[in-house]
Amino acid sequence: MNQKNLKILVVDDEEVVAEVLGKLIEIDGHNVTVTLEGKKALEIYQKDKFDIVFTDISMPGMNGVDLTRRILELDNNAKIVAVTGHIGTQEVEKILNAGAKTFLKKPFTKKEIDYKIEEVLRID
Amino acid sequence: MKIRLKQNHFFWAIMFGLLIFILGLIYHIYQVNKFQLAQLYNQQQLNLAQEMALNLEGLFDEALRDLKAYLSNNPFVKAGDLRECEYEMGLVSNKMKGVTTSLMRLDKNGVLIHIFSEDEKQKKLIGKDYRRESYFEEPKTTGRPFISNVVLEEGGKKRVYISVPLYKEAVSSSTPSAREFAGVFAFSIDLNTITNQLLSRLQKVRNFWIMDDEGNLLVQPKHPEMEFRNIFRNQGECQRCHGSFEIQERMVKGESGTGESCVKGSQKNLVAFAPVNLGEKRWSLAVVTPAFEVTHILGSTLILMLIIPIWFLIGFLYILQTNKKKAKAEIEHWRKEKEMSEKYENLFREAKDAILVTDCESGYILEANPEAFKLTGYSREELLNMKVWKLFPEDKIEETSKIFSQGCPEEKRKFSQLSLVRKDGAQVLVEVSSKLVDYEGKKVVQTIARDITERKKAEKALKESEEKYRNLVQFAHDAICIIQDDHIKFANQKFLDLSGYSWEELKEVDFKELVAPEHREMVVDRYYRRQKGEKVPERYELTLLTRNGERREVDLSVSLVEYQGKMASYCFLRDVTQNKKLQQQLIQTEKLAAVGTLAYGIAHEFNNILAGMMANAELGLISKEHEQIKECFETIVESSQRASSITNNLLAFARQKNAKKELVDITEPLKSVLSVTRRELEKHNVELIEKFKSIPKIYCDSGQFSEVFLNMITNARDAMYPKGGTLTIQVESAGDCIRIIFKDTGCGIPEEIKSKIFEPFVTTKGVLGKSDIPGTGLGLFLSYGIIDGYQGKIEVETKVGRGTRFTILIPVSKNLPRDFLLETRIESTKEIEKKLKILLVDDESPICSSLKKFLESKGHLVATSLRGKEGLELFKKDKFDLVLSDITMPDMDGIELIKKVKEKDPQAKIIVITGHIQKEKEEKAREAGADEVLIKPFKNELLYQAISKVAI
Repeated sequence: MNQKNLKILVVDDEEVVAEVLGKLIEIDGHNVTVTLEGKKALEIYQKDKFDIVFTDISMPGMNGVDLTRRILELDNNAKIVAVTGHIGTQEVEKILNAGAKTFLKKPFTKKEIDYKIEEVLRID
Repeated sequence: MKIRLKQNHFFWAIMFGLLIFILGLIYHIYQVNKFQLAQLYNQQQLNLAQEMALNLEGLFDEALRDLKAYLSNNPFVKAGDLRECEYEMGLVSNKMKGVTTSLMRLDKNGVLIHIFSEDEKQKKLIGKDYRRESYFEEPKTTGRPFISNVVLEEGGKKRVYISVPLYKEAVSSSTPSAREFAGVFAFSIDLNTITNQLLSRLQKVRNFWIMDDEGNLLVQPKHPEMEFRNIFRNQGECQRCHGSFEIQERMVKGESGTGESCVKGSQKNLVAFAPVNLGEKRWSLAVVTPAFEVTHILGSTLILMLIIPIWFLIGFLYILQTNKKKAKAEIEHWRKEKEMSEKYENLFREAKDAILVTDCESGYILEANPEAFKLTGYSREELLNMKVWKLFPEDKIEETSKIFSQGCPEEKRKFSQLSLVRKDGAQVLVEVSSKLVDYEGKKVVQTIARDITERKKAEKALKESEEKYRNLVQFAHDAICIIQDDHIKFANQKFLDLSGYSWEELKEVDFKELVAPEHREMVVDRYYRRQKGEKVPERYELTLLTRNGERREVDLSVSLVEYQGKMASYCFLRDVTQNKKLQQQLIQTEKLAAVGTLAYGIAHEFNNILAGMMANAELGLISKEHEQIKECFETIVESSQRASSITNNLLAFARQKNAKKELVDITEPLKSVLSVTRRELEKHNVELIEKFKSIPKIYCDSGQFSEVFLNMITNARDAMYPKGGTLTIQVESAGDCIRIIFKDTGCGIPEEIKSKIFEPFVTTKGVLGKSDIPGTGLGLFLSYGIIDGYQGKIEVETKVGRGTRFTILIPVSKNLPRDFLLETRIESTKEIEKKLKILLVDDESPICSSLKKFLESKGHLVATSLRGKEGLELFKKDKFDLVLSDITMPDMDGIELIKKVKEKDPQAKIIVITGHIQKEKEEKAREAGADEVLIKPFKNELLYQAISKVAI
């Protein structure tokens, strides 16, 4: 089920995390766009459709929960993976309720990333 | 005395009568004398009047005689022989000079044919017809000389004409005696001149007047306007002045005599009058003198006569007055005596003490006051018929007889307490004081007795109340002491228990020694300010040092009281050490709670960092490009450093026990807190505005401030949840204070809890605040406690829906190090058994030598150097157990020296001694390799302690 050349959007206000997450996804030949702000991510998504969106939950400005809602408004079938550093379940619950398909806990491994991509693709 | 007063009235009546009599007598004598004098004077005046009348008569007689003689010598004066006539007339005129004014020759028809006058103008009158004049007609018809009435002529001249007829021999000469009338020879007499002559003979005060036999007033020099008036015919006018005209009537009759005339509105006049016979006519002349002029001589005599008795009277009155004063004084004295005796009698009667007068020998009661009747229950009659000992119990008779008999002292009152037996048999306790006195030759005992039953009761009650109070204080739960003149004047058992001193020890101790060093200054300052009457806190907490050096936290409340006549501090102390421990635990709990809320955010932060690290590590492992691998590792290192800085900052919260106070710029703990919370705030959409100005350092525990700041920041964050907002943090100096402001744009604090926000468990968060935002309700309470501990303040301004502003004010001057290093508690120093070789480098030779001396005294070997380079050389040549070095030195500073020493021997033990109190210097020294840093000045013991810690 290893699909290549997926279009993936990565959103995280932590630059290091966003970059390295992007790079780890790119290794498998996916087309990755990285942004540090929720608002920008929405703008990018409006212009272009993505197969998967990886978004952080807590971000200044537009947070992950809001972003999820807005993207789903644009595209009902959008596949959103929440990325979170939180140790509690509150935030995760919120974003799942908002429409995210699954979540990835920080810190993460390459395997976990791959697994999440597979997981969302499997939903189709 | 009343009789005396009556006598006085009688005496005064006699005196007054006598005075009236004397005055009357004098007046009588005066009146008699006055009359006699007037009589006498008038007699003299009559003589004068007669003399004057005679003079006047004489004057006219002489003039007439001269004229007659002249005419007899020349019986026929030729009418026409004027020259001769002139000559003759000149002779007459000369003789009459001064009186006569003119001589006239009238012809038989009465025409003026010649005039002889000094006045040349009269010559013009020649030829004028005078036939109607009396002085022409009368001589012509009678053939006799004639004296005319007084004629008033022009210019006010009064004249009297005297004329004689002239005849010439009849031409026919038929009869020898036949004569032919030839005219008249007349001359006039000026009456004014005569009047003046007469007047000149009178004294000034006198006056005279002349009237004719018909009552016409001819001359009146004082009243010329009355001249030529008839007194009788003009009575209406005259009566305005004259009361009667008796004298005038007598004068008209030609009488001579004296009298008194009364003129209205003025004094009486004395009048003397005499007739003046002028041929067929008769005048009357009166001389007048005001009676006053005569009697005033008598007046002065009268005054003299009056003065003597008046003098007598005054003298007499004076003596009388003196006597009267004496008498008054006597009355006053008598009255006072009476009042006094009445007063004493009142005193005796109304005294609140019973008073008894008893016979010294027989013991009989001679006198007793109503209070005595009341006290004993006996009536006056009964008391006065009994012996005094009967009033007291029989078994006390010996004692009683001592008081009421000869044994009684004469000078001082003797006080004793006795039971008195009342008539009804009841006994009352009385205080009796007695004294032996002489009373009308008899020895009597004066006794004052007072019922002291009530007083005794009160005394007992007081004693009991005192006992109660003493017990209250003695067994109080709180320690109580009274401080006066810096010493403890009283302490209860609890206080002795608390302090560990015995009372004997405690009273010798200065109370200041009981206060822990860090509180001593504050306590002493408040103590003295309170004594001066300034307002200082009445209740506060402090640490007490017990006899064993233990520290006890106490809650002290002080008030000023008067103790033994002086102001003293009354202190209640409650041992709150246990409370403090609990509080400490509570603070710890809160801290944990605060960290707990933080932990959530921190975990998130760490997960982010870890995510970056793990992912990069994995990427590095996967990657084959060297550049990328390097990049990954670099990122991992950076992330690790970030994680490390977070943990470092977390240390501020981890501190708890025995937190050391240091000189700190409290912006530092604020920055630490912000570094931990910054991301958290960003995530909550809280915009952070930092306005940090440089502020002075204060002596404090920075961990406490971290806690306060964290509280402030989390509160602000939560207040702005979930919308976010702006948190402005401002740090600045404001006068003596450091001011830190946290201003948020959150929901504000509801009015109902605004006044309670610093109380514990007041919150809008957590379970208590029925909110899903976590909170314990302890944050502000503890923050307040911390800031209060630095004598600072937290102020709050808030508006619901608009935001809240917390202002923290810390007074700098109250938080400065004051020999804090000296006050650092020195743990009992262990003696260093090993002999150490020590290198001491310090550019200040006094410090060098004194430290050397001290260390040598402890048995160590010390090499000294004043220069860094020199010190390094010494270290290189020889082996030392320990290096002591200053930081600031001229050629090579301490930091460099430490580095070089460490290069040579990484195991070298180094202690830095410095005058700098900046944290950076200390840190630099520690970084360079210093094992311990001591800040000058320090106690030698402290150094020794450090050495024992470092070198062994």
